[in-house]
Amino acid sequence: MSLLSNRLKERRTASGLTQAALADQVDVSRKTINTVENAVFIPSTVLALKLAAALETSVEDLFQLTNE
Amino acid sequence: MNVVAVARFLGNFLVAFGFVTVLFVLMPMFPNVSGSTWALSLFAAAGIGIFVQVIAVAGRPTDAVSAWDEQSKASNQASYVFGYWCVMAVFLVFLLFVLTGEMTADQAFLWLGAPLGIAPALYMVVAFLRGRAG
Repeated sequence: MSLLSNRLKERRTASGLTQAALADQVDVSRKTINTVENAVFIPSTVLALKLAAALETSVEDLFQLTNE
Repeated sequence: MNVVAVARFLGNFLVAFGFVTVLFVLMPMFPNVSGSTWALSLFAAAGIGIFVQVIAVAGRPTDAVSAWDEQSKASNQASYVFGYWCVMAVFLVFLLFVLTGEMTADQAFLWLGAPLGIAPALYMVVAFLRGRAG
């Protein structure tokens, strides 16, 4: 189970962005956005900050530690 | 479609499955062809793979940024770790073969090059298909 849960997909769709469009904004591949949304890949601090900035929210709003 | 990522996938595919094709299909079909010829053909395949990637990057430089994003870099680093352990395992097997006389040390040395080059390429092929590399 991933240590991190996220609301990336929720915030992205609320912003009206596709995975590809968000990927272009933060200079990653669409597949990376997909794996982050599915909690398969844990983004770096830099990428997390870029995603939060692109979605006009905070990192804490996007990502949360899971209780294991 | 990310052209650079696809070119990288094709290059890795060429190397990984080129070896399998040579070893299990072509070598039995053409037993009189020397091992060095097959080795050169694999080097040529790797060279073609590199050339294709260079062309892709030159033609679509913006694709290179996302093709080498942090997830792709993580997969690339993991491929080298995978390659290390593969070579370690193959080395131990070859060591046993050499000690028991099934293989000469020269043969073992030369054939050890194959997993050294193939394992990381194979890992990256799988990573691409799983959506972990571009």
